[in-house]
Order: sequence, then C-alpha cells, then structure tokens
Amino acid sequence: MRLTPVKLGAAALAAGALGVSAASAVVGALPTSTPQSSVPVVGSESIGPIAPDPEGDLDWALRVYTSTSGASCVEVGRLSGGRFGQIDARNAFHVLPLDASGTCGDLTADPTILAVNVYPARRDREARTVVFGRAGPDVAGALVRRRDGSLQARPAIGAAGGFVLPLAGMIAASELPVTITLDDGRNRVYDLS
Amino acid sequence: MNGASQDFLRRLTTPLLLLVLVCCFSFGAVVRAALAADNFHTTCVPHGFVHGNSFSDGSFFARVDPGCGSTLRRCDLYTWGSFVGGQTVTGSSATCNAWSSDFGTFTECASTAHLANSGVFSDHVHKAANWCG
Repeated sequence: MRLTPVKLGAAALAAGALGVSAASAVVGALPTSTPQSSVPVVGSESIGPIAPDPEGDLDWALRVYTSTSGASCVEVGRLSGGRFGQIDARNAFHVLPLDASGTCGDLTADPTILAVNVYPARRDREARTVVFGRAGPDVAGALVRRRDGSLQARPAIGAAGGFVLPLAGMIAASELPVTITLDDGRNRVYDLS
Repeated sequence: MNGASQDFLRRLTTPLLLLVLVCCFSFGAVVRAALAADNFHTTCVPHGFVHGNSFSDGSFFARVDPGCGSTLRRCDLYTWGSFVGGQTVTGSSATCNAWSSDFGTFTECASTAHLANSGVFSDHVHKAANWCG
C-alpha cells in the first residue's frame, strides 16, 4: 500500500480517537448527569415558608422535596403570582421547574440542613444573602445572629421544616452563626467559618 | 504531491510510523484524562463542576458531596472570572449544590466551580468540561 499524507493523517486521527476511547474506559464518561441524590420525587414538593425581601422586592420562598434516594432537600427562590422561580440580572422573574437543584441531606443524621446562599449585585439586582434550611422533627426553633451584633432573628419554621431568612447585601457565611434549639431544650450552634 | 513530500514519505520507516501513531494515541488519552480531571473528581468525596442536561444549556452546578468527616463545604460559581453566586453548607450529610439557574443566566463553557471542604481539601477550581474561557 502506498502511503500518502492523507492516509497518514487519517491514521493519526484514528489513533488519537482510540486514545480518547481508551482513556474514557478508565476515567468513565464525562459527568453530565445531575446529582443522583438531589433528583426529586415528583409530587413530594411543597412551597413554604415565605419571607419578605428586606428591601421590598419579590418575596423569598423555599421549595422542599424528597429525593429519589430518600434525602430531604431544600431550595431557595422567589415567589411571583404563586410561582416559584428566580430573578435574573435585569430583575426579571423566571419560573424554575422542579429539578435536581436542591441542597439535600439526611435529617436522621443531622437535626438540620443549613445553607447560606450569596447573590452578588447584578445590573438591576441588589445583592442578597439568604440563610435557609430544613429542620428535622426534633427542632423547636432557629436563631440567626450576626457576629457584629447587628442582627438577631428567629425565622419561622414551616410545616415541612423549612426556614428562610433573606438579608440585604453580601455577608460571609462565617459571619452568621445559627443556633438550633431542640425540643428537649438543648442548643446546637452551626458555625459556618 | 511535490518532491519534498515524496522524499519525506520515503524516509518514513515502519517503526517511525508506529511511533507517530502511538504518540497520537497517547495525546488523545492525555487530553481526555485532563478534561475529566478538570471537570469533576474525587478527593475523598466527589466534587467538581457538574453539567446539566448538556454542555450548553446554561444549567450547571458547583457541587461538593458530604463525607470524610467534613462539616463545612463551600461551592461557588464564577463566569468569565467573576463571582456570580455561591453556597455554603454545614452538617455531616448535606450536599453543597450551587445551581447556576438560581443565580441567573451564564455562559456555561466560561464558568468555573470554586470549591472548598474543611479538613478534606482546600480551595481549588474546576472548569467546565468544554472550557472556552
């Protein structure tokens, strides 16, 4: 067989493709799937509680659901006309469909799933920091403090255990310790620093 | 084909040709492995940049799974090098899962996940698998 540059190039490409295939067999397929433990069971979701925005914009709300692996999940968003979603950089509301987008955990292992989301300011949107979570059945209350003493708030805990506290500006999670009070009176401090 | 090309091909021996093909094979494997490492990997717990249903639908996550004794996890999203939103979670069982759509609409291939996990791994960056930034 006479070797031409075209044939040589084709052989080189084929060898490169074989290399990609061989490496894929070792490292696995590119992880394009959504997190398994966060995939919702359709029908398990509920919205609430709802908290007002600190500067009068759309209310904040929680969407809680159970994942296909049995995890308790919670997602924070905005509420417009009873629909759950988020606002974009131009302050326009978009509905967020139920997806594997929650923060999920095991409420038999921890009394509370606790998270802080930070939303930086965008073109037409003010910055926000949102403390939220989902409490287990043994939790009686939550207290959010700011280390500099400028804040002390007790967000209401909803029927499904959700709680949400939106704050103006960007605040480091390390500045917002949360004290969870259990039914038996014991306190547990979650320090995010 | 000109004379120079013919001379070049004439000088190619079978071992040299094999060497070229082996090099191409290795290059493909190295590029593929590097892409996987940039995107998502496991250092005691799985973590990284997770694409949604495709590489270009604008739906992607910065994610850190719980485990390995960690009690504090942080997952932030950046696009074109700017912070666009992030999440911090605490507790032994909660997954840090910052979803791009919770923070706005962003160019997926120019985005990165900045992740930290106390006592397990320090702050580092994972790029989108189809990185274009």
